[in-house]
Amino acid sequence: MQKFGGSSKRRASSVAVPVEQVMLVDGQGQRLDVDALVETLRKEPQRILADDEVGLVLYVGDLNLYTLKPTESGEFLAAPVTEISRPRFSGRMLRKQIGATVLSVTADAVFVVRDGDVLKKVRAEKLEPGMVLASGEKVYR
Amino acid sequence: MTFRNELERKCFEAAKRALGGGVVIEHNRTIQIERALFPEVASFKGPPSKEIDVLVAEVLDRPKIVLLVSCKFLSRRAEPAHVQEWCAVVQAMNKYSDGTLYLGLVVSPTGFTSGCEAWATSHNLGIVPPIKGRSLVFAEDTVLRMFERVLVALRTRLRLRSDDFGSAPAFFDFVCRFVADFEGHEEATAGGRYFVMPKGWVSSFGEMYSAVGGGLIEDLRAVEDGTVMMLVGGSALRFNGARVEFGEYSSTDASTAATARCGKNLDMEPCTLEFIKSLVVGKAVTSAADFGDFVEFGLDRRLNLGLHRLGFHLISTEEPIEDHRL
Repeated sequence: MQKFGGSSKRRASSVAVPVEQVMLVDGQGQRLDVDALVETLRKEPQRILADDEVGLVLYVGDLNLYTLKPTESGEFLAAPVTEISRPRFSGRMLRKQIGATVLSVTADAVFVVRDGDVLKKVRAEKLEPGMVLASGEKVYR
Repeated sequence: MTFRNELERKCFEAAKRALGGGVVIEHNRTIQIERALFPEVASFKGPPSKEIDVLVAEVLDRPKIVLLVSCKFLSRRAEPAHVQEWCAVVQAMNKYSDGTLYLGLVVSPTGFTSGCEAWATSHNLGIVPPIKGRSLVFAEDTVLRMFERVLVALRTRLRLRSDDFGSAPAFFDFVCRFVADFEGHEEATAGGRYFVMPKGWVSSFGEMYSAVGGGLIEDLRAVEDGTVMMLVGGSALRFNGARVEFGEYSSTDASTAATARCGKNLDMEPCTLEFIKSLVVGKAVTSAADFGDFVEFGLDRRLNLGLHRLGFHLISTEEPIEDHRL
């Protein structure tokens, strides 16, 4: 496991919405745009492990990617990623405005929000106006 | 090939579809290990001999990887003993393997009790359906789709990399990732209205808009029992009053052309399809709304184009209304 700090800018998915809002970094700790990465990699058919009614799963085990999991101390733990999964439906959908972006997310999608000096995980259905994400973006509605 | 029950037959057919050859069902099979040079083997092979029903699938040739599937046709949820039994089988096969990696999977359409997960995790066994989540019981058809999805993914995955499934809980996690996506899928897609063409996958309003939003209108057509909005690039949206279908549209669609009933402005003054097309072709889709009887698309933030079962309407959204009648 590796530790990384840094921001967590995110954007809406063009098609599917991950159950958990994935924060992905490369081997140097640089944040990656998951949607752009998925769109690029889905053009390589050998990486597609599943692309069906349920969703898309891509193999990324050879790309030295890590997913960031926030800890209570405010740091991120990085775990290697072998697959990226984009389920097409993973539950009830909600519309949220975060920063300037209005996006559809599943009710059980997890966001990391600031709570004083620490970070905590909040499901989309419990996300309230005024909360600030780990990335610094504010929740408006 | 004979089958113990209907579940076994369906699992076999799913495995054949997913993997092609190399799939067999064996009943009352006495376990035969690959190496018999160790002292423990005597006790393992001694009475009572271990007989199992197993679906054997050769997933990869080099290195040789074999999947051993136990199909549990039970009236209630599988219990830890069922998983433990398969743990023992797979463990024994791997312990005395001569280079082959055996992976174990238990399929139980009625689900698993909570004690099963610990055994499956620690012994690197896949279980279908997943034990986590809100929905612990899935329809049998859904469970079979999960099973087939896992097999298709497993075959592709092992061709890319095969050296990391040997240690727990890598294979358990892999299977879990592929079946967990079914969680919430059925409830989210219940009462399907949106469908992706040509595969007929159930979809949603959000996905529909992702597919057509920003697209430029190339043509409008009235077909038998529906209307079609063609977009530049070969995609289209078809509406028939009950279903909204979008995606790739075949120009050889068998639907015959029909006469469209068209209206313009808020009072739905009759007009021709050619009139509407003259104003909307080349315009970008900038918004969408589903009103049940019709679906409506905003175009260039100036026009609203409605698709009905039997025709189209077009309204200007610019103010004041009277000065912007079409």
